[in-house]
Amino acid sequence: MMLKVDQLTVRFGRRTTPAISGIGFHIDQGERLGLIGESGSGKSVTSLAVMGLLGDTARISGSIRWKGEELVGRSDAHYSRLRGAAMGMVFQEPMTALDPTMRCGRQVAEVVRLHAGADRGQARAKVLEILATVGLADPERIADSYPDELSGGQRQRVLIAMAMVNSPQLLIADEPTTALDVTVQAKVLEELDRMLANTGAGLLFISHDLAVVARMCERIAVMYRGSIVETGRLDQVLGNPQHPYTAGLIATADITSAEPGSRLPVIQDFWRQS
Amino acid sequence: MTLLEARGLDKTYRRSGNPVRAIRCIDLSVASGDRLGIVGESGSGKSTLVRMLAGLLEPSFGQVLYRGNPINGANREQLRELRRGVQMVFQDPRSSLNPRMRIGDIIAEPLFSPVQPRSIRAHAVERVAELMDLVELDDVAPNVYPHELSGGQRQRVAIARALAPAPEVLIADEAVSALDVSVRAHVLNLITDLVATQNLTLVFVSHDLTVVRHLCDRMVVMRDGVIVEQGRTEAIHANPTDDYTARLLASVPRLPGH
Amino acid sequence: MKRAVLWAGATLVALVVLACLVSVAWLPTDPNTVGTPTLAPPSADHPLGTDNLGRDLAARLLVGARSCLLVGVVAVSIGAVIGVPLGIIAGGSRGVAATVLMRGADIVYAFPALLLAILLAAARGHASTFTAMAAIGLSTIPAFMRVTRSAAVDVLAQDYVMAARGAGFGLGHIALRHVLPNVAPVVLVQSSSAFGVAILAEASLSYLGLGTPPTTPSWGRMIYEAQSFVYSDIQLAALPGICIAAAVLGFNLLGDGLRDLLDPTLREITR
Repeated sequence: MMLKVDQLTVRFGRRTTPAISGIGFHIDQGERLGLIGESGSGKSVTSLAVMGLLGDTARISGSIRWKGEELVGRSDAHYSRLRGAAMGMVFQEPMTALDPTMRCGRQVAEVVRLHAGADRGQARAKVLEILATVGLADPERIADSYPDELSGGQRQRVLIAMAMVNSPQLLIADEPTTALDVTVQAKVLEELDRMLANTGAGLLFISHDLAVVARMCERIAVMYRGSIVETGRLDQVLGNPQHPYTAGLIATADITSAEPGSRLPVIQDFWRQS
Repeated sequence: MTLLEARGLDKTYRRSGNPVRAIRCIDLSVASGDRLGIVGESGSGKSTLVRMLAGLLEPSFGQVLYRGNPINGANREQLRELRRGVQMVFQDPRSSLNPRMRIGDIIAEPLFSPVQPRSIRAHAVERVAELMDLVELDDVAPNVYPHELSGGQRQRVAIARALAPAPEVLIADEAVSALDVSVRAHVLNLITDLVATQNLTLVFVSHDLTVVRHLCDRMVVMRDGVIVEQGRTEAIHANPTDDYTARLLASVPRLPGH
Repeated sequence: MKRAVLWAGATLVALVVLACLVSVAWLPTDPNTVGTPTLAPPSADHPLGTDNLGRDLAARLLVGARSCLLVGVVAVSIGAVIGVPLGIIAGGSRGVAATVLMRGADIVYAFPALLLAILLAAARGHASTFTAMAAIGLSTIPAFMRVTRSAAVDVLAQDYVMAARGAGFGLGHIALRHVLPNVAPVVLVQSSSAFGVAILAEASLSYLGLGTPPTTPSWGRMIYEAQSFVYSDIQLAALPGICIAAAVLGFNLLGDGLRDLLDPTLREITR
């Protein structure tokens, strides 16, 4: 088992209600798990907890094991050896996740040099290679550009390059395509798909969009108000949802199945039935 | 009858000194009772176009006509008519709702506009209650602030504000794009109902062809400031003639087996 | 940690305000009474001793808090009342108008406050607390304009401004109802730091004889008068110096604390 999360509960500050409670899931080598839920359901808190990025105000209990080694309670220094090396992360907002004052190539190179200890020339070569791999047509130009000179799709590809450059065993992607146009989203998902297949890395994919999760993952976990209410193989969950919330998500995911102008099914319909 | 009409609209912005032609010579007309979808991706010029239709942005060339009268050089009374008759809902309620105003005040704001008759101010409180009812916010107190609401509720506040002056045209610019997929259905149902019950003419802007197909009977597809395809929604959806439209349609993520 | 900064600032500021209030209600002796003993050490009659003219040091320090606060309040008010509206107008205007406003601000900013104080004193025939306050107040206008303008530009780009225009409102309504409440936090933070700057400027001007006249005790003037005695009686300069430092530090810390408290991006993290 590569990543195993058990009974993970996170509280913030003096609040008594936990942001997430009793979360449990696991990801094997090369496996892809989709974490789906609405905003505020605790998806992002979960991914930040796994990366050890929650900050001082969070109180964490339960267990997060990376290859059998317990991570909860470990120092930030310990975590930073994992982050960017064994685990890579892609965030939603490509503009705020990149430093606007630094050329993109240098930002990727820093990650390389931090963990791989490569010299400048080696790092540059590796940066150009990874930028080409994520589907950027002109890596030299992209590497020498500042983030605001790039389009949203190009920025998100640079972020993916940063996350993948040290060949992590697990990629955590938090709504990586939500801010993108649909045609760009389709391309970025395709490239992400191909890259993961080539490197054999596992994936924890977080989204509110069931159709996008279904495109990327073979297993899904459904989050609702800080808990995982259902988990299983994609086809099983889609074909035979156990929880009414999941049934609602499936029904709302595809509006083309409804007659134009007719009333669309909403999540609440399914709560009532149960 | 034709309510809104664009004739040879052209808009050039200056971005860091360089001219960017966002809209290129667009003709378009919206008749009373129309449900028109405008589809395109970021940079296609769709937001620029509808802002010009709403009289919120001046075209570089060409004209917008409301009820047959050009907006540029309209007299005071014609401008009043436009401001009362055409209202907009924006994409992100975090930006379209003033964080320091209570939602009751936000919804009531247009009633206190100089283009409205002073007499309606006296009934503002009842009108706000009525509007909140209309957008299914009857269980929310009018004295809360936007940040206390969920994303879907905030967008309902924005819709209620747009309906306050009882407009005949509602322009929605990506009004469901910032919402969770599961909340989207709710707001789409609301818009469908409101268009029917309030006799609204709808201009709905979206990057998502499937959403436009659900709400609109006619659509135009925009790319780089130009209309690349237009016609009945069903027809385009079933058989897109333009490559770009086909690509847009194919890019919408779908559940397997649907 | 952020709250600690806020509290430290608030405490120092509260001490200055307290000193000011105490000086109004009660003083150990009259701060301007000249007599003997001169340069006396602390005693029951004079808790902090006396200066070279035999005036009570404690009384002079307490009364000094008054001019310090008065100058701060008036100068910051001048800066805010003129700078904030100009900043909002600059934020809402384009082309020539915006250029004229902001380059005007640059010119005022580049103009030394000291020179301004001298010119004002010359124009009125003598230096006074009023000329000092006016000079300091005018020189803080550009800073208020700049922070207000950049905040106003952000607010004016929001869709609620677009919605208000779409409802038929004019710029006056938008400035008062939408821009002002949303720029208020940065103006508050700026006021707090400007207060610190004003106090320091008043002390400097008084030290140079361009501010508070000799009859009114002021911390800056006290340092000036203590100059000849720094080697023998350091406390005459050190005590008002400490008061100035505490007040300036207090207002700056308060400004920093308020900024952290009001900055929504920082608040969001704890959510």
